[in-house]
Amino acid sequence: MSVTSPEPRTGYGRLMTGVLRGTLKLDVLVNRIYPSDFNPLYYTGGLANLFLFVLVLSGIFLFFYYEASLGGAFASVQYLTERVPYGGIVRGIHRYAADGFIIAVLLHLLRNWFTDRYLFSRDNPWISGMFLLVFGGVIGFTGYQLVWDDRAQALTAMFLAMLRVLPGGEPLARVFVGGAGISDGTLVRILFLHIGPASALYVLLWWHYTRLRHPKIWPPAVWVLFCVGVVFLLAGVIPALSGRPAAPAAQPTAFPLDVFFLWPFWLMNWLGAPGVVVLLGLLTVAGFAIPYLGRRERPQEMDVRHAGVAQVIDGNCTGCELCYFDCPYNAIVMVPSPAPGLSRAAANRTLLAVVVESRCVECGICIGACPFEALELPKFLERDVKTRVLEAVRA
Amino acid sequence: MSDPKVVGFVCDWSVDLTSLLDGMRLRELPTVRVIRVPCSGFVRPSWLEDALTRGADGVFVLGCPYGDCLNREGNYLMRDRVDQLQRRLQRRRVDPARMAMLAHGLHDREAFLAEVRAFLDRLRALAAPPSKAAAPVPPAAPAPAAAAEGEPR
Repeated sequence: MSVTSPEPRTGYGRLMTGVLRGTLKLDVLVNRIYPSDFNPLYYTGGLANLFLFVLVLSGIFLFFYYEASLGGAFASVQYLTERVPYGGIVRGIHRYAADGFIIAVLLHLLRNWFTDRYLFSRDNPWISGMFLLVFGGVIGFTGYQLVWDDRAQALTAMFLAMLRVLPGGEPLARVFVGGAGISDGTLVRILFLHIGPASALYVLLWWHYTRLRHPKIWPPAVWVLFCVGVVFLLAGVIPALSGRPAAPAAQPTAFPLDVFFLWPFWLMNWLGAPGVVVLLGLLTVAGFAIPYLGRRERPQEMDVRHAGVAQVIDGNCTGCELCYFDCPYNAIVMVPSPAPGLSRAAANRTLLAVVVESRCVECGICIGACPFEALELPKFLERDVKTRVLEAVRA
Repeated sequence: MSDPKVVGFVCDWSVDLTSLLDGMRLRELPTVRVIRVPCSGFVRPSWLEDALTRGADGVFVLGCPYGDCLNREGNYLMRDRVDQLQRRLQRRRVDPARMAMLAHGLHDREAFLAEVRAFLDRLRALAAPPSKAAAPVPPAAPAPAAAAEGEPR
């Protein structure tokens, strides 16, 4: 028995087991190049956070030069790119760090999906992560609109077409452009829809981290230097430039595409606005449903890895807090002890450990932390382990 | 001396043992018995001590590669706990080479077996009485390989 023991499963289970094996195989290859402490695939979340940090810093710089008006938007971005010292570089950094952010987020999503890191109560980080992804996509899209060149104009027209597909879409479109037609107000709204969700990312990140005891929010220093270096290099070598200024009469038919943010607009070539709206809706719903729709393994196949939520043996708990410090998911809280424990060590306790069941992932790390036999996994008791130890020693 | 008897606690997410196991034994190293656990961090150090006092010559815990624990920190925590146990038992003259923390991923069968073989070699080199590890054992000459595992970074 093991994570990938060959047993009859559903097609989805077989597929995901194959993917799990593949993901870990990739790790083996990467670990040959880097020691496992520096494997970038172990730090995809930290890398995303690093790119987000770069985005915020460069974004603040760009914000001070931006003018949110129909006549001034394009000119202010041009001024920033051409006249402001290093302005073009900062703009490039903002653009390429955004791509890096999406790449890191997608790697993070796939890796955690493929390695079963959404199981049990880990669905909470999953849901907040999906919100982070959706918000990230919206921010990237509005970022391309802010430049207000011909591409931005085309994107806006296509986005309005998508909005009109939705029920009650016409009022929505009016809300988005701020009136009957595109005006100065539109760009103010777009600027808010760029910076507002970007600030909300940090609220969502708080949600994303809140159940983790020591979240790995920063990659190792060498990877920080490498990623920042690559972003700087790209910004210098391939500068981020605007297209032609937007003009009400112009009807651009082609524009340079950023595959990470603008792929839905590319798909509009074939699917049309309704098709893309339906596809985006399905993808979002499916993404949110991943922890609930299907499991790779049935519960009975998980065997010892599904041994039930940890239970505190009240009489033995001494309130020493060791499990509280070791639980990686903040699932153990210490409460004032309502009554002394039964064992001699527990007689004078002032605190009592309580397992928050909705946070427990059944890993059993608290059992290893407890020297007082005060914690148990219901389906794999200490007694069972000791029987097996005896068997092993006698056999 | 016969092959040392070894008890291993193996995280079920780490090395895929399906093809290596014969009941509790490792097919290639029949004196090594394996107990599967949900996470290496599940192992209570007192169980390792227990196995040693009940007659095992050595114990090891196998977790996933550092940085890749499914439960985020289980293998780091266990590495620290094994390290503490080694120091604690050393005061009772149990050689630290009798305890080891290993870390290998799903595909690392060969590396895992090689490391267990090296572990067995170290146990043989101890040339201790066949069992009763908790009884006074002359501390072996420096066990250089013992430092390789369970050492804090």
